[in-house]
Amino acid sequence: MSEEVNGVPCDKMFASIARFRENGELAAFRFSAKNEWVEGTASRSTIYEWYGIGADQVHVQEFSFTADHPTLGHGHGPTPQEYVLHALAACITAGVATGAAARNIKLNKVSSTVSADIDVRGVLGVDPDIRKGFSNVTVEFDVDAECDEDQKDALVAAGAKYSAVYDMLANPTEVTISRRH
Amino acid sequence: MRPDRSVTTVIIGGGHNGLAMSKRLADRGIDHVVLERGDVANAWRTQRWDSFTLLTPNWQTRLPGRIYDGEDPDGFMTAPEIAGFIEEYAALVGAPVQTGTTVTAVRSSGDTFLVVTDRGTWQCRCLVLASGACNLPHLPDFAAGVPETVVTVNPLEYRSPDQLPDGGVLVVGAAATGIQLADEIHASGRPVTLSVGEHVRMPRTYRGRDIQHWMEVIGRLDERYDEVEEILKARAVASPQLIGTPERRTLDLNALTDKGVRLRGRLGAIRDGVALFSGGLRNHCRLADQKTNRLLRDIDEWITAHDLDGQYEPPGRCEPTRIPKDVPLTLDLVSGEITAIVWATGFRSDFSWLDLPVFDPAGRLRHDGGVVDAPGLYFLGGTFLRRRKSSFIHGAEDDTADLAEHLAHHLATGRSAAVAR
Repeated sequence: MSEEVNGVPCDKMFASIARFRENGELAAFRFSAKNEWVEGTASRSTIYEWYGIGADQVHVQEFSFTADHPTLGHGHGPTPQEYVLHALAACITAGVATGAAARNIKLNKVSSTVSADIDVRGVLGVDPDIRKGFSNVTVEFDVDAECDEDQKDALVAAGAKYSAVYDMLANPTEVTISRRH
Repeated sequence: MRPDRSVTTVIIGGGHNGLAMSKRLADRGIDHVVLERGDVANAWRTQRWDSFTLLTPNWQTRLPGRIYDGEDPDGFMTAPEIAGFIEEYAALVGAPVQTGTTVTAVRSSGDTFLVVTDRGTWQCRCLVLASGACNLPHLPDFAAGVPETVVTVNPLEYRSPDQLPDGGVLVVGAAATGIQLADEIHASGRPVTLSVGEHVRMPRTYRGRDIQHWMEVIGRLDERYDEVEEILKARAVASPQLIGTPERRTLDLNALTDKGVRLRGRLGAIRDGVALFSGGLRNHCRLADQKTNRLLRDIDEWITAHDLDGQYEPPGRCEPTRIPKDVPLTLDLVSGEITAIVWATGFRSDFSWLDLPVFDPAGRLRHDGGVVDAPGLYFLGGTFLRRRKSSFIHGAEDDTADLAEHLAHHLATGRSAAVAR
């Protein structure tokens, strides 16, 4: 019988880790999103197929997300930058949940606020010395869990340390843009 | 290949671990030889910088059957002093050391080992690898991307700031080696930029006693490898940011910042001559501060539990590590601002001569607390081999006792068995 802690299936998680430890090739994943321009500054991405555990996979359903611009757009969605803030919060929070589950710590509530500064003169090409991306990304967590304050700190720290999105934001990442047709 | 000589056990390496193991085997009447490529304590004589001192105090420098009985128990040995201590130890225990002997290959032959050296081949039933955990510097993959105009130095070849050109120096790595070298290089008038990743911060003294005293009495140093949550992670933990000086000063990132050293995040890549640093510096420092304060709190609890509060100075906590706003994430290595890079990015063993199937896919030795995955083969040295204290000189005491017992059992039964607790 598989037990879930905080809704995380622990047996399945540990079994997966053991498999990947034994066979690193199964751990080679590839994620993708397909994006289509909608109108103006808006475009929609659909996410369905992914590759991992040695095979092509699909999500339980096709997920789709639309991004737009608050002042130059038509209200189709938040900015791509804000999706990144969501990604960061979501990635770390998933890590907090799995980390707590692995230590059998019951979580009651985990919330966070992610903020980032951006000088839009960068993306608008007004000044080449101004960075296009975020400066000063902050994530502030509130954790209500059955453990002491040190353990809460440890859960958040581990959630960030093992976060894919935190890593790619904080550290250099290869990004290649090209045109096919 | 026919062996020239046969012995029950060969110990490769005449440093403190090899010699301590020699004593353990001698006590058990197990015949053996210690093969050393240079002179006894070779690495301490030939691979340490001029101002080097141990970061453990003299009272903690002990080996099986030998304690420190000098006049400065709270001092810190220089490299020549620790080399002298180890040489005296070799003589004291009468270790059968063959110096000037370099091992060029180790192979198996049935259930024995063939140890090929430049002075003949030995055959043995048991083999102890005590050749050291710091034979080679560990360099990041992108080290080759450093522009040719910048001099690069690793800690094994570094001796003093004088060997560096004038100008700015980038020190990569902020464990014990990194902070010590950053401090003395900056003091020499060469402005230092220090790249900091995860690190272990520790005050030199706490409540009036050396931090190593507390690490010992509260039991941290005796924590076992098979009792910690993730041993691979624990083994990757960097050496604490300590220095051994007569003033017993604390050399943390705040101390370096106060002297004008610039801090940057972990070096993540070098692209087109530009060093790219992580934006996680503040997090790394906050984490290190939290862990230090947790240690200090554990010490306070131990003191109170033993009713000793009156004996020591009052409790305190580390000042948070100060990180300025807007720490740059890049550094141009081509502009001429940086004339040298010091790679304080760790060390690794050289096992290129070990021709046995005992390595994992990442090239690490497969072992269980020093019992290597091949009957009769043992490994000493290295962080957290069996206990947190394994990387310190006195770690050799318990490590060699445990492994000698395992080795003796192997000889007696012809089988490897679980090491007795």
